[in-house]
Amino acid sequence: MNRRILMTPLFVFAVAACDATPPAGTVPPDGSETLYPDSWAHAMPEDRGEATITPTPAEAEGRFARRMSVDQLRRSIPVLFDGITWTVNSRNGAQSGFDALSRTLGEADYIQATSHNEEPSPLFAKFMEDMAADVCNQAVRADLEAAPGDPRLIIMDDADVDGTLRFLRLKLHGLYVPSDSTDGIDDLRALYDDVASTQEPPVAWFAVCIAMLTAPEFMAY
Amino acid sequence: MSKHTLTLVVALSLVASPAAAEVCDEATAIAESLSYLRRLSLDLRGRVPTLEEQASVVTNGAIDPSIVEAMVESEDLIHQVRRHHLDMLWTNVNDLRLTNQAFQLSPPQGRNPAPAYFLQAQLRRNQYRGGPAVCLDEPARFDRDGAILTTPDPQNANIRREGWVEVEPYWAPGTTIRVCAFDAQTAETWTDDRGNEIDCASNGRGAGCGCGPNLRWCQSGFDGTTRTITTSMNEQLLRYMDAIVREDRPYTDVVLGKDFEIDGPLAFWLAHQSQTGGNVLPAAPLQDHAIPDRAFSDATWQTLERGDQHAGVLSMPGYLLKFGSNRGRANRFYEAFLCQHFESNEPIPPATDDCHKEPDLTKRCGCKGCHLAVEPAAAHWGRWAEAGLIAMTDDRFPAYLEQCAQPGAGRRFPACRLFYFTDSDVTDPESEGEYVGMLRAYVFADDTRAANIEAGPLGIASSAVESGVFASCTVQKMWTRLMSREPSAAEAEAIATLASDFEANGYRLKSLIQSIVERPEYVEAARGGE
Repeated sequence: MNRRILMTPLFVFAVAACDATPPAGTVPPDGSETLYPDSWAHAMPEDRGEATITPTPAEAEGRFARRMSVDQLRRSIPVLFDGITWTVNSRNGAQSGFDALSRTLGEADYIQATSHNEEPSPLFAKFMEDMAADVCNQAVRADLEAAPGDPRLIIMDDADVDGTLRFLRLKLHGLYVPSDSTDGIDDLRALYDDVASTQEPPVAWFAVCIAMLTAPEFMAY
Repeated sequence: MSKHTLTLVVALSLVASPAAAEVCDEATAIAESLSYLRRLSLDLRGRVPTLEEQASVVTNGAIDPSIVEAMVESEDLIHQVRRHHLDMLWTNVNDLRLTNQAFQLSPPQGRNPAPAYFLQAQLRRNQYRGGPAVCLDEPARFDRDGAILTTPDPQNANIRREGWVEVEPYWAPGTTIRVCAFDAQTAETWTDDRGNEIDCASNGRGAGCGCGPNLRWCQSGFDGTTRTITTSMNEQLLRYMDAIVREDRPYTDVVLGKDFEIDGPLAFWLAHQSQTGGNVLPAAPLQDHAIPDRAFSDATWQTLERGDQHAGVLSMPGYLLKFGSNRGRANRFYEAFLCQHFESNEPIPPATDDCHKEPDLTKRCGCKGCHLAVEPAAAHWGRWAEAGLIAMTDDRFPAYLEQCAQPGAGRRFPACRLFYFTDSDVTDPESEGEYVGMLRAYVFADDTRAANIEAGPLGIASSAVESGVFASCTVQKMWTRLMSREPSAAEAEAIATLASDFEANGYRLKSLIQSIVERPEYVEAARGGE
C-alpha cells in the first residue's frame, strides 16, 4: 500500500471522524461551507477548554509539563518504530526530517539561535502532522509486510481492536488501560470505527497512529 | 517489540480487579509510576521508555529502582548532559573563518572553472601571473634549477601562465589532485626584490610562496578542511565535559582541569595553519601546551596536559573563539557558571554630557554600572589573544614592550597593532598616554585587575568554586532543566541543601541529577510533592 492510498482516505476520515452535525456558529452565514473542529479551523475554540500557557510557581510547585524537544523526538521515534524515522527528500537526497528541518522546528544551532523555541506553535504542529503521516505510513506498511509471528509496530492484532488500542496507548502515551476498562481508548475506538466503516482496516490504523502521535499525551510530558 | 509483549500487557490487565477502592488506588499508582518513568526517560535518556520498561511498571505497580540507576549510568545521560552544556556554552564555532583568501584554495569547478586548484586571493594571482588568471590546463614545466616556466598570454602581454602539478593533499593522503604550480610551491621562505625574507607559512605575499608541502598551509572549503577543524574545536570542548561526567570526576574540573584531548585536525591546524589567520583570526602555535605531530586525517583523540594559563573549558578554542572578546568570555562565564549577568541600573546622562568622553569604562557615566564588575572579570583572559587564539605568556608578551611604545608602532609592527596599546590608539593623552606600549589588558588596570590578568581564567574559576557559587549555580541550572522551571524563592533552602550535598559528594554531577529526579517535586510533578 503506497502513501497515496493511505493519505486519501485519511482526509475522508478527518471529516467523518467528527460530529456530522456541526454546532451553531460554525457554519458561514451563506451556508456555503461546513467547518469542522480540526487543528486549523477557527471553529469551536471553546471545545479546547481552558489552558494556562505559562503556569506560575504559585499555581504549581512541582515539575512543569513541557513539550518534547526536537532532539527527544529525533531519538524517540526510532525507538518506538524499530528504527523508522521521519524522512524527507531534499537536495542532498533523503534525510531525517528532524535534521533537515531542525532550525525550522525551533532547534538552536548556537550560531543564529542560541535557545530552543519549544512553543507548540502552528508551524511546529504542521510539521508534526507531516512527521506523523510519514512515520505512520512507514510503520503500517512494515506491519502489512511483516511475516506471521514477526514483531508488529502498530497493528498488533487486527482481530482485537481494543487490545491493540490498549497496547498503543501504553506504547506511545505511557498510559495503562486495564482490560476491563475502555477509559482512554473510547475516542480512539470511535476514530477507528469511523474510518474502518468506509476503508480497509490498515487505513483505520494509519489514522489512529497519526492521531496518537500528534496528541498532547505524546508531545508533552 | 514483540507480540509477546502485547500478550504480557493484556495478561497484566486481566490480573487485577478486586475491590473497587483497591483497583482505584492501584490504577493511580500505576498511572503515576508510568508518568514518572516517562519523565525520567525523556529527561535522562532523551527518549521515551520502551514498552518492556512500561510493562514492568504495570507488573510491579512501581518503577524498579534499577531502571533509574541504569538511566543515570547510561551513555544516553551523557548525551543529555551534552545538550545541557550546549545550551550553557553555545558550543558551535562552525561559522569561523580560519584564514584569509591568501591561504584559501578554490577547486577546479564551480562558478569559475579552472584546470586545477588555485588560491582565491587576487593578490596571489597578480603576483604569480601578472593579472587575474589561473594556470593553463597542462602539466607544469620547470627549468634546470627547478623554477616554474610560464607561457605568455596571447591576449594580455602582462599575464604569464604556468601549468599544474599533481599534489598529495594533507586532507586526503594517498590521493592526488591537480594544483596550479605557483600555488603549490613548497618553499619555506622567499626573498623579495628588496632583499626582505618572507616566511611563506604565515605571509600570503610573495611570488615564490605557495601552499607548502602537501598544501599544508592552505584551506580547501570544497574539501571541508575548515569545517573539519572547527568541528574538532566543538567536539574537543564537549567531549571534555562528557568525560568528566561519564567518569564521575569532580564537576569542578570543567573550569579547573588541566588535561584535554586533541585530535589530528586540531593538532595539524595548530602546528601548520594557525599562523595563517592574519587579521582574520590572530592565532599561533603558542598554546601553553605541547602540540603533537599528528596527521590531519587522524581522527583519534590523544590526552595531554596543559600549562598554567589553562583552566578547563575556559581556555579551549571552542570557548575562546566562540566568545572572542575578553568581556564576552567573562560574560559567558558569569551566565554559565555563576548564574549571574551584568546589568546596569545606572541612568544614562544625555549624549551631550561630557562624561561620555571618559575613556576608562569603569569611570564613564552609563557604562561604569556594569564595567566596574566586567573589567576585572574580563582581565582574567587578558593573556589570551582576543578574536583569536594565542596564549600570551609573559616571556613572549611582556606587559610592557618598548618596541610598541615607539611612534607609529601600530602601523609598522602587526603584533603591536593587535595586542599592544600604541600611540594611534590614544584618544586622550592625559589619561591614556602612560599606557602606550602596554599589553592591551593592562590599559586602565589597577592592582586588582593586574593580579587578575596574571591569575588567568583559573583565578576566576577557583574563586567561583571556593565561594560555593559554582556549586549553587550548577544545582540551579540542573534543577531548571529537569523541573522545566527555575527554583522559586521558597525553594532556596532546597537548592542550598542540594548544593551542599553536591559539594560534599565531590561535585559528582550524576549524583546531583539523581538527587533532583528523586525529589517529590519531580516525582509527583504537578502535585508538587503535596
